[in-house]
Order: sequence, then C-alpha cells, then structure tokens
Amino acid sequence: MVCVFNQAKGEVYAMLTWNEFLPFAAAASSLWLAGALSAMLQMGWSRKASISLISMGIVVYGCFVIGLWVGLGRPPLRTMGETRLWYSLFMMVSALTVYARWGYRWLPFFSFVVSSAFVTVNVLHPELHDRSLPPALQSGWFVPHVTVYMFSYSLFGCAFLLALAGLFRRRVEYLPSADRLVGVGLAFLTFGMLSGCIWAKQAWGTYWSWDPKETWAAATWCAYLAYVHYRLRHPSPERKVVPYLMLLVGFLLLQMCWYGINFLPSAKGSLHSY
Amino acid sequence: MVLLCLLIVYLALSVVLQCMVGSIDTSALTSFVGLALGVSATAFLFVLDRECEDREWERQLRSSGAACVLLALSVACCIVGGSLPTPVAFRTSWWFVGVLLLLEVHLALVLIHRLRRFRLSNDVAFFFVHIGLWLALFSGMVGEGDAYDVRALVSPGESVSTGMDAGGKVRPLGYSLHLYDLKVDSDGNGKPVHYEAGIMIDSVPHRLAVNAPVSVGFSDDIYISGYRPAGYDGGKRPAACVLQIVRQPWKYPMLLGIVMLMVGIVWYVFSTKPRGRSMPC
Repeated sequence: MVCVFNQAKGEVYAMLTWNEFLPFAAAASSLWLAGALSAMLQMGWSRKASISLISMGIVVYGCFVIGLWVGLGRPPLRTMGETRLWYSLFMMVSALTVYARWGYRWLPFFSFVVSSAFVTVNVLHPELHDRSLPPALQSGWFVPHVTVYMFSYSLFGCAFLLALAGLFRRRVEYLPSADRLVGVGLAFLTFGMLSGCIWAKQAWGTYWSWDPKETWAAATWCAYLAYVHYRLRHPSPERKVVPYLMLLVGFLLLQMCWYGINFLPSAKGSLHSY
Repeated sequence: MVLLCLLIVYLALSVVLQCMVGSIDTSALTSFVGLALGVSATAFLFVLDRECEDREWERQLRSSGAACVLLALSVACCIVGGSLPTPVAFRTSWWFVGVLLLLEVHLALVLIHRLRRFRLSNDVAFFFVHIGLWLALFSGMVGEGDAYDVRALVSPGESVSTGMDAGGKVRPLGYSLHLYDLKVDSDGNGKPVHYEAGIMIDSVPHRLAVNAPVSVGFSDDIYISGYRPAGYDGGKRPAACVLQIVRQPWKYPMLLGIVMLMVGIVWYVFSTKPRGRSMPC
C-alpha cells in the first residue's frame, strides 16, 4: 500500500498497488465461491444468500479496482493484466445478473471458475507497469471503450457457458437466455467498437485501418451478428446444436481478438499491442 | 442452394482476379466515380426489387439466410486477413472487397425493400442499424482515390506545403504549415507524457496535441504524430515534430454511419422483447 501525504490539506491518503491484490482477490473469491455454492442449494434462503454473497464479493473486488485506479493515477486498463482484472469483475457482475434474472443455479459456479482462472493468472503474472499513460491513451474515449468491451466479453462468456450447457444436455431451453445475453452483449460490443473508431480518427487519422486487432474484432462482431440473424431465421431450430456451435465459434474468436492475437506474427507492429 | 452456387462462383472469380492482376488499385476510385457507381447501383437495385420482388432468388438475396452466409464469409475473410503479416494486401484484395461488395448489395436490397413498405412504429431502429452500416461501408470504399495520409517533419520556424506518403510519393497540400512552437513533457524515464505544437495554417494559428487534431476544410485533418528531440543521433539537429496530414473526403458521411449504427443497435436491442421462455434449472 502506498501512503501519500497531501501537504496542502494535511491529510494522508492510502492508495492500493498490485501488492495488495492477493488479499482482496482471496476475500472476493471466497465470497463468490460461497455465493455460487449457495446458489446450487435448493433451500428457501439460498437465492437471497447467493445474491448477497456474490454482491459483497463484487464490492470487495471493485474496491481494489478503484483503489488501484487512484494508486496508479490512471485507469487500470493499459495492460493485459489490467484488462483481466476488469474481466474477472464483470464476469461475476454478468453471472449475478443472469442468475437474478433467469435463475440458472449452476451459472454462478461456472462463472466463478472462469473468473478465478483470470484472477489466478493475475496473481501469478501481474504484469506490473509504471504509472505513465502514453499520449494516445490520454483520451476521454479510453475508459468507455475498454470497459464496455470488457463488459460485453463477460456477457458473451455467460452465453458461452449456456451454449456448453445446451450442447451437453441437448436442450434448446437455454437459447432464449443466450439470445438476450448476445443481444445486450452485441450492443455493448458495437458501442465499444464504434467508440474505438471515433477515437482512432482523433488519434491516428483513420476510423478503421484493418490493423490485426481490428480485423479480429470485426470477425468477432460478424460472428455474433450471424448468430442474431440465424436466430431470427430459425426461432425454433431443427438442428439444436447449430446456434450453440455458433456461440462457441464467436467466443473462440473473441479470445483470439483479446489475447490470442499476441501469439500471431501479424500482431507485431499493431497499434493495439499491449 | 442457388445462392450458395452464385457465391462460390463470385468468390472463385475474385480469387482468379487476385492471382491474375494482383490487389485492387483504388486510385481510380475517386469521390465522383464512387458516387456515380453508388447511385447507379442503387437505382439498378431499386428497379430489380420493384420488378422481381416475388422471385425466389431475389427473396433469397435479401433474406436473413443470405445475411448469415455473408457474415460467415466476412468472418472467414477476417480470420485469413487477421493472420496475414501485411494487412494492407488484405484490405485491397479482390476476395475481401468482393465479400464487402456483396454485403453492400445485400444491405441495399434489404433497405430498398423495407423502405417501400416503411412503417414508422416498427422500423426506425432497423433503419438506423442497416443504413448506418451501409453508409459506413460505402464511405469506406468510395473516395479512396482522393484520400491520402502523408507526413511532414517540421522544425520550429520552418514551413512546409508538401507531405510524403508511405510509398515515398510527395503530395502538395494546397496550404502551408508553419511550426512556431513545440512543447514536450517527459516523465522521469524520458518517456513523453504529453506533447503539443503551435502551427500556423496559412498564417492562422492553431494548437495541435495528440487526440486533438485540427481540421482544414471539409476533408483534411492535421495531427501531431511524433517528435524528434534536439541533438537526435548525437548531431546538432534541432527538435522537430512529425505532422500527419490526412485527407478523407468521406469522413463526415462515415461518422454519420457510425453514429447511426451505434444508436440503432442499442435502440434495437433494448426495444426488442425477448422471444420464448427460458427454463430455470
């Protein structure tokens, strides 16, 4: 923890650094796990307890994110580790929303597994970076562009879990919920992508340059748009697996766009390398 | 099946053209040519939709099934293009531009058909999304021949009236740029955290910073894209900044398309009632 003395006001501020991540992550993960296990119990109190516990975990984790933001003096959205931080938070926010709205008792647990995987990677490989923000990232579009993207990723993450459940159980009942998640996720993804276009015009002179990251983002967007059009054409699909497979492909493309691209030679010299 | 066969023929033709003549030379596609082609194609599609709207193949062309196929093809193109080491070759390739053109034609047909049966209550969000996407794609294609992106290295006290593009071609700007001030703030490690320049565009002063370009006329934007510190390379060269001059005549129509798409998709999603009933388990 960093303590800063403000001479003008005579006050001491405590700001968080990555060193404090482990206790916050452990506390939040414990609450999420307790909430997820509670959701699976078929007791009268389990639903309220689950929602309360997961919410408390989100608050604890959110406090770390805000503290880190203050400590760094910039939004923690610059590095891959920092985006993982937001994803693990939003994954549980989305899981909580889906559970509260549709009541899938197993979803908080699987969301917790996904979220804790990203938390673990951050604990083992936190990617410490300095406090500076390159001039191009000093824009009003930076925070909405990245956070909206991360939130859409988390919604697609939940849709992916529903698709896995649908494939595993060979049932179409998960599709209406997946449709809503993909619809809302697509709205956020589109907003994130197009806000990025406007920002790119301000910073680099062109709305869209077919940079490798942008090309993979376009692939992801088209994949989810294809899913939406497929569902419009086939509200009650004869072949149950097709929409679920489309969701799997969309989610794989999303992973490529987010971090998989870093393993490709085409990523060298990308404007979006981080 | 007919649609799929047509698509395969179309793509095969694109690949053959790619192998025979290489990538598309966009220099001929000036704003005037692009606009003329766009208006002619739209008029043709309007007549096609009016005369053949009951034909099976026309219905297929504007169906959501065609949208699925074209989007799947776009995904395939993007996967190939995103894996290529040179993205420039991908965006001007026949096979990729072919898919984008097909998408434009499909969108135009869908829009024309729906416009002929326009209902304000149901269709506004639909039109925002589809017109926005059509306009953004169209603006990205036309006017390529008039667009350029050039750089000019200028030291304080110097003036330039030309810029050089990535291919080394020198282009006249049509106005002069005079740098009278350059400020660079660095952090403790010498990394720049902020830099800005004062420039005169035909004797009118402006301030330039990263994320704060200056517009000249309807189509040009001037950016500060980098700087060279004084004494660079151990020599006595003065500090200089790299100005980037971008001409994009269709930037405002594209912005309009982007904003329409952004508003439309949010409106569309949040105004659509969910279908069916999910089953808690």
